[in-house]
Amino acid sequence: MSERVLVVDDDDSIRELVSLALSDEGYDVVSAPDGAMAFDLIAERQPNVILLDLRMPIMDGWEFLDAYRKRPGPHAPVIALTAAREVGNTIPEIGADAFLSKPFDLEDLLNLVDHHLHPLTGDPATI
Amino acid sequence: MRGTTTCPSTMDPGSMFAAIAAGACLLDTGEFRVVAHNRAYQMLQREPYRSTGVVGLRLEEYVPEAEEAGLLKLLRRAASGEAVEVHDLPYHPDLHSERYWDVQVGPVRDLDGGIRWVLSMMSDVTDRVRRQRHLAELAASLRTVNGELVVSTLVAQEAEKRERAARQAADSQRLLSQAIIDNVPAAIAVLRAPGFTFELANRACQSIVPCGELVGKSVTEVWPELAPTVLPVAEQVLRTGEPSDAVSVRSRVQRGPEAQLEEAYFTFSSAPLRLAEGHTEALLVLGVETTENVRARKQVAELAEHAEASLRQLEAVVSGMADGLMIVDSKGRVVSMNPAALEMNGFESAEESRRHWRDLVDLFEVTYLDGRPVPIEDWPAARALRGETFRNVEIRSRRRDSGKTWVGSYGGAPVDDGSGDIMLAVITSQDVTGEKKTEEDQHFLAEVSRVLASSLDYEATLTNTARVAIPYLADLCAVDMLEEDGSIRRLTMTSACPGKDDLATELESNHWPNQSDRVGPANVLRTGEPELYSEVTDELLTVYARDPQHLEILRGLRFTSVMIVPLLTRGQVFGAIKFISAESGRHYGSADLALAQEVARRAAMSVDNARLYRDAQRAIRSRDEFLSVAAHELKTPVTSLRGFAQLTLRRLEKTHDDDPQLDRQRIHRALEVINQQSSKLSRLVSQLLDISRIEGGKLVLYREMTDVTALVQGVAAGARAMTHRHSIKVSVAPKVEALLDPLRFEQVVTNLIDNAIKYSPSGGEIDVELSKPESEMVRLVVRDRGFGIPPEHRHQIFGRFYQAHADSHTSGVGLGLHISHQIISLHGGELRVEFPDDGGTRFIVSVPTGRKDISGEDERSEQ
Repeated sequence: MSERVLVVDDDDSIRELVSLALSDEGYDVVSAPDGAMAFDLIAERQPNVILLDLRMPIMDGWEFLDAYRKRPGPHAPVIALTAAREVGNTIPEIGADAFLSKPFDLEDLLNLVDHHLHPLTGDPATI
Repeated sequence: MRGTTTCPSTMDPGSMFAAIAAGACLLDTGEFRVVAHNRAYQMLQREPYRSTGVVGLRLEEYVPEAEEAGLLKLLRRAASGEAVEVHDLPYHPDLHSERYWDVQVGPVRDLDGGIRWVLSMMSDVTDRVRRQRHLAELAASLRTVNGELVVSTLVAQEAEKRERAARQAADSQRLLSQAIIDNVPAAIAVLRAPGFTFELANRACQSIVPCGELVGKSVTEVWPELAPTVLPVAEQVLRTGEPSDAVSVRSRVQRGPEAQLEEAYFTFSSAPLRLAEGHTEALLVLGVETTENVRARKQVAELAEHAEASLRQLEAVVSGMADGLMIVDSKGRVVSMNPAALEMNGFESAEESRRHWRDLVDLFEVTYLDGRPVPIEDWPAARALRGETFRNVEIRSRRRDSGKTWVGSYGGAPVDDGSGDIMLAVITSQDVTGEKKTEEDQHFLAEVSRVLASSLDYEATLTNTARVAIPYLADLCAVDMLEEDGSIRRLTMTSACPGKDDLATELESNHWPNQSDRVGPANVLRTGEPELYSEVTDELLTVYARDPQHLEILRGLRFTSVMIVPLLTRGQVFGAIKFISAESGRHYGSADLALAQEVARRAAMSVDNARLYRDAQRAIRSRDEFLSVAAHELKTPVTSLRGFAQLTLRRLEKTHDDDPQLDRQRIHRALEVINQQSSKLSRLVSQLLDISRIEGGKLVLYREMTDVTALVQGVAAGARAMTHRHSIKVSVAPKVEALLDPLRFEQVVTNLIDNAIKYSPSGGEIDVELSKPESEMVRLVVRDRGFGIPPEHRHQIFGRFYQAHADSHTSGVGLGLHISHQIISLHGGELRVEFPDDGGTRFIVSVPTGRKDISGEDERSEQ
């Protein structure tokens, strides 16, 4: 069973881009245009990693994270995606596990997802 | 032979003594036991000797202090043949009166030239001593008053000289002792009745009656001009047997054989003489020339007059001085205060001030400028009387009765009598209230400026200013602000008494200044002119009060004086400061008003700075926000563009040439997204350029007659193609035309419909309605049923960077509405927003068709 990634972004083209890139690498991708819809998907699809845009209508990234952390059960690592570094956007403040700023290289995105899905194995060649 | 005379055998010494006014006493040369004395001498003695006489007693028996006073020494010198005199000897037979004496003693020789007795003569010179003192004091006070020694020195020297002359004249009495001796200046004669022929005449007598040998001649014969004066007295003495009183006569004498006759004064006294036969048929006449005395007296009188004139002159100068001058005598009594000092101290007459300075203390409250009370021992008079010389001592005084307050700069110095004893103290004072006020005003303004500089929040600044004004400038201080809608808002009310501000605020709260007030803050806000009420009269309150209850409140507050000054920036009134005096009882004057205006000017400038600063801060914040939002929004399409380009590259690297179909499909999609995103990027850049044009005032409209109906239908059709979730209903009036910039107007319509779609993400109906409610007006309404705009943001939706949901950004920089608003404004129209009760948002555009204006302009240009 392939690993599942949840992509949350209000911009259609970003959502499409990230979904396509991850699918090409064999991941099972689900996406949502805002935090509220994403939250509904979590219980149902149980993603292994979440890519989260911070600025969105309905429920933004910060609200989503807050609700997600309070939710019982296992928590997948969350990688925050945002266009601007602002006050309150450091990783510990946001409560995300990683941070990627837009515009990003697909390579970096894929490495980061891979790293968070296999945090202990690392690079097999070095073990 | 000097100092020797012979006693005529026919003369009784007792009678002779009795005739003279001076106290005369004959003592033996051994123990200085009194042989004889006259009545005058007896009257000088203390009781019981005044009653019993002192014949047979030794001098130190009845004058115990004789040795100490040097009298015995004098007698000893006389006993050894010397004639001695002492002046101004203090000897006080009566305990309660000071008396001074000139004492002459000389030897009395018997016929064979041996010294047999000593004669002592005492003349009372108390008056002269007092006169000298008086002159000295006069001179001293002259010296005191102006420190000018010339006049007083002259006076003193002159006085001394005259006095010396006078004393020498008085010394003529001494010559009585030399009547027994020789060449006495006092004339001694014995006249025999009847006919009053000279029985005896000494040399002095000979010299003033220069008729050769007198003995044997009659008075009438030798001195006819004196006979009418002298003879009746002589006859009376003979008749009554009593000595005569002294008689002063004026005569003329020839001082020498060649000399001219000159005026001379004499004093005669005469006493009966018992001759050998036992009958009183002869007189002893004693004449003393008093010419010098009389002249000296005259001169002393002239001098005194001169001195008084000088004193008057000085007094005129002193009284004209602007500085206060006070003289206190050694006992602390205020001797003199010039008018300036009287006025400064609030005395209406000099008499009021003539007290001991300590008795004036209770009238005043006296402090140093730092507020410390001046201890009584440091009052200027006390210090000067202690011997201190000082100047520029600044003291604030307040009359307890009248409340008059002033600041004086005091100087003081003691004046000594030449021997080191302080005789007087001189205190000068200068009223420096004005200078101090200026100094304190500057201090106060500096404090105001400090407070003003301490905050950029102008409301806090004005509140602090009101606080600083108390108590220096006011007991109560209120600041009223003119709001943009023309109403008046009380910003602050501060009081010196804790609680009074609350009270005043509460009492006045129902009666804030309002626009209809004819006086007070409202009027100042309207006119920009200050108001000054030195005295708050009941009349004024009546004009100001809005109703009887308000009037009662105002009366109860007991304001004494009020001034109101406007707060102005760039000619615009934006507030007023009201300074009120109440419990302090002060009355404002023009100087206070000027100070208040200066406070207001500084406060206004500070407020203006605060506003500029606030605006600048806002602009900076707004720009930062804009840059941040713009960066964010620009980065999103850039992310897509880069992402799809990279995705496509990855795929091209991975796929094989034998799978062209798949690649083409995917590449097509990627290029499609890249195309869309680059359009979006381009649109964003256009908007940013629009903003920069609008802000630079460079957005230009290219108007042409436009078919608005077609324009709106076109935009709506385009929008429909973009969304499946929304149902866009268009209702347009046919053939609506207006003079517009079609591209800019289309931009507005597109923006409104895009927003409607964007802010109703779950779909729903969007109504687009174009109408012509008036012939010259086009109206477009776009209404959605989305999540609307939160009430707290509604007032700023047309602002530059507003986004309805800034916290949870929808896409777009938020420039659209701002740009649309500006475009419609440039068209002379209006863009409004409404929030229907059933949700969503309704934007209403109204623009003039422009036709009338053009035709109007044409008509005008044709005329």
